[in-house]
Amino acid sequence: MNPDRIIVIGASTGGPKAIVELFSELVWELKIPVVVAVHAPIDIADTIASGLKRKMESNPLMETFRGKPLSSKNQTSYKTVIHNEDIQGGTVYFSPGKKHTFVTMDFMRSYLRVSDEPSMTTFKPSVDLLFISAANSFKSKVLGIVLTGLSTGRDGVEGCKKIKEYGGAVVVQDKRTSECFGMPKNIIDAGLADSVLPLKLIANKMKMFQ
Amino acid sequence: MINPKLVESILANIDELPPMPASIAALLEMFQEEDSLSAAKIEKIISSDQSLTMNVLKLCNSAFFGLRQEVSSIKQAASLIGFKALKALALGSFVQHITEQRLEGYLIEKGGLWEHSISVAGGSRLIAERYLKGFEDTAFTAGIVHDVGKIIMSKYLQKEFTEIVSVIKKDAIPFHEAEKRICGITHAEIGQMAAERWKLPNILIDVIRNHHSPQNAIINKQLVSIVHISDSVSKILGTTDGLDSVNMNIDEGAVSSLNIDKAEYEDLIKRLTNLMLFPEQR
Repeated sequence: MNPDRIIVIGASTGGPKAIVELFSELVWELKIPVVVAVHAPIDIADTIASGLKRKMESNPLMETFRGKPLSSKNQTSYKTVIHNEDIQGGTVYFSPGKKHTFVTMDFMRSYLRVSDEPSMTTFKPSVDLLFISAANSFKSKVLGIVLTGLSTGRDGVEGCKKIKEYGGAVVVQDKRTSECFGMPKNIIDAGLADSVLPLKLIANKMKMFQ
Repeated sequence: MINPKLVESILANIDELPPMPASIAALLEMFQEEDSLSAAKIEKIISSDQSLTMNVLKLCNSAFFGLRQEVSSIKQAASLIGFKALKALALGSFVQHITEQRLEGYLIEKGGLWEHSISVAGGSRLIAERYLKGFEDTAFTAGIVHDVGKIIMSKYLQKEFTEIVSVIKKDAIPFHEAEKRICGITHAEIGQMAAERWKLPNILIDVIRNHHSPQNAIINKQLVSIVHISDSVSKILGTTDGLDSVNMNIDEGAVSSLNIDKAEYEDLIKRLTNLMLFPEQR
């Protein structure tokens, strides 16, 4: 079934560790898709995805109903984006290194595209391109999250602007838990952040959004 | 621009360094020795210092050292990891103590420099296991001490902080290059002087001095390259807090010096990422 909403996450310096910490907080069932773009000079998408999968498989779900666990096993999938694959709920997709990832919607089918183009961008994967494509596809049903990163290049600002134009929401990581606060601060200074939160509370926001 | 007075003032403060404890100094004198008499002496030195014993055992049991069983005595530790590794852990306990403070000049939180150092130490050991056999424990030790210069450098950086951040953003250069440009000296150079003051072995001083410029290594280029790669990956992954992780890249010369081909390189990065981001899975 086509998901009706999506979360997109962008990060830079300090990003890989922040991503692992954020998803370690997801001790509840993820039902919607999440797409992540992290700036890094080495391709670690696969390694992070498989590491998270192993880590979270050994964590039972903490959701309970009248004292009983709702589900004993964490079913969230973690994977690297494959070009042209359908977007599924309950899946966290990591953009492969040195390529852009785009969210696309055609005739009610939502899917992910991976591309080297545009080649002349400051960062690959570009957070802006991911966020803009998500907003164009899912309109107001987008939660954009900007985590730790330096402010050079302002990647993420145009993407958050597009999300807000369509009526979506934007959350940024706070200074206290960010390794570098530049990227989140760019979003705050542009008047685009709905919330400024530590990682643990960003995880709560994700739960409330789905 | 270089401020000669700042450089002078930094150098004068090398004297502020905490002294190396006598027990650890005694162990360092035996750094390269491996005979059975030395083994007995090493065990005696560590065991007679209760605080040192506790710290060494704690480090022994940490994820980055990679043991699969709990260690509860120095004798047991020695039989499992060897005396060279024990010496590394003893030095590590001293470094942990002096790196506990917050380093404002780098925006490194309390304990952050130690976490980074142990992460680099674990990564260095992993690389050495494949590419510099026989130097695994030396690589681990080198990782622990590689950034000691930051302890002194930090308070001077605080004054130049705005200028350093500005040049990092404007010119997209790594932090240590900004240190050199603005302060005229780097934490690696300061670290070398500190290491000489503590009488650390030259092989470790070479790593401290050249871990950002492995092409300048004098004693063991491969060892310096190993610590460089581990340090760079740790920063790229964000397993270290602080502003000095921005604009990091891995020096290609360091990778070539270990004769690592493309497929091996990808596998190495994967293993380092798993170690540093998911140490509990080791």
